[in-house]
Amino acid sequence: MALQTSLRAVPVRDREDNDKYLTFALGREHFALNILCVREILEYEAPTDVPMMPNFVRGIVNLRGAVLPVIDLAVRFGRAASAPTKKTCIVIIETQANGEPQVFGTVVDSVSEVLEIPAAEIEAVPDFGMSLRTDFVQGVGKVNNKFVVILNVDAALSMDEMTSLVTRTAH
Amino acid sequence: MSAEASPLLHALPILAKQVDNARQQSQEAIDALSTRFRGIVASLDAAMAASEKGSGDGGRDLRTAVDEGRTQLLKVIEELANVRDSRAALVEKIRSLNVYTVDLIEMARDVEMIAFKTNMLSLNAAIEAAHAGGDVGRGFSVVANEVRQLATASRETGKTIGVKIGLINATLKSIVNDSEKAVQREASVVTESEARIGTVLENFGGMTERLLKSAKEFRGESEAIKDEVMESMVQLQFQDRVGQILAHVAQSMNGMSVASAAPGTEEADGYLADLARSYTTDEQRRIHNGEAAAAVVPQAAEFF
Repeated sequence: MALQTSLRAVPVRDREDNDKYLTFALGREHFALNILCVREILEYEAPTDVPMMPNFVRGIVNLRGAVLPVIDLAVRFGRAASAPTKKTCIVIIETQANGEPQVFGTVVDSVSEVLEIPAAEIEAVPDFGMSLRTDFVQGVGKVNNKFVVILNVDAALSMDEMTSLVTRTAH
Repeated sequence: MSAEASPLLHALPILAKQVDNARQQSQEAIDALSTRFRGIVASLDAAMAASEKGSGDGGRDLRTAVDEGRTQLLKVIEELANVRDSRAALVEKIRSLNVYTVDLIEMARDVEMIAFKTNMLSLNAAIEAAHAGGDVGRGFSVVANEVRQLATASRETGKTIGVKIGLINATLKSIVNDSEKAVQREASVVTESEARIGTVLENFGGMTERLLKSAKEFRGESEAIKDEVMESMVQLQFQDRVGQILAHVAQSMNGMSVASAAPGTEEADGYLADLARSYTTDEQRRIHNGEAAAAVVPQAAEFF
């Protein structure tokens, strides 16, 4: 709770030391998130089903009293949902929408490590060759001569867009 | 002395010589026959003694040998069965190890699970450190990183343990499989050996019995033949009697020729009295007195 308060008090994006990233896997693909967007990682527990939700919403979880929606990132990105394993995790992510923080749970197949990727090692999104909507991608980081897609969570998990999808699904 | 009696007087000594000659010839022939019979009896005795030795004590030896063979071979089978049993016990012991390897695999999985959770803990610590920021955050993130490395090392160790246990398990399984096959093979060998030894011993036993039976039959036959021969030899004693009679007849004929020269004289009467005295058998006396000869009762023969 103290953490939540501090996060709210300090807008994380404005900090200078925001070069740490959490890497994780969805199927065979590896992605990275700025660590300041990540609140914590939970062991996977099946979320509570909520009816009439789009397929990328797995349900809801109760995180210390707060009810959070759980998004299946693979399904959100147009991939097939994978069955949970003992490595499956729920990553609690905080996004910013219209200056308001939004908190989600996201299901990932496994979390790998926390890496430091200096801004100099991050390249702009290429115009083609991406299997993901370009606005979901912040850039491509070079880690140990391998590339890792750094997500723009504000866009990928835009509450506005997802809500509109829900509305459309409902109709 | 009449002239008619004269040719008879001349003929009597010649007849006496002829009778004596016939007596001697039959005596010689009967003696030779007796000798032959004694030889046959001796041969039969030797053959029976040999047969007795071969199938009497020897038969017992043969039976004992077959029985001993059976005992020894059964011991061999018992040993084989023991080997089989101890191998089966070994297999059972190895199989019981399987329970432990299952436990160990579970423990290796636990190690990996703990490593996974520790890794997650370290990632959360790194996240907290990043949020804290500044020197405090940096110090904390170093600790978080160290914990993560330990978790990684633990996970690798857990995996290695799992792999090694898998190898051990596979080896144990193949040992158990091989041993089980060996146990089955040995079991069938034991059964087969038992059957074969049983057959061989049965054959030996049958042969021994047949051998003993034929030897007994041979002895029985030999005994019967010997009895027959002995009986024949007893019958041959007639020659002794007949010889005595014929010798006496020949002697008497000679005496008669002398007495006939002067009948009714003291000399002639003395001749008849001498004749009656000189008889050695009852039948001679009976015949002399005009009675019929009774059946001959031979005395038991003596053999050397």
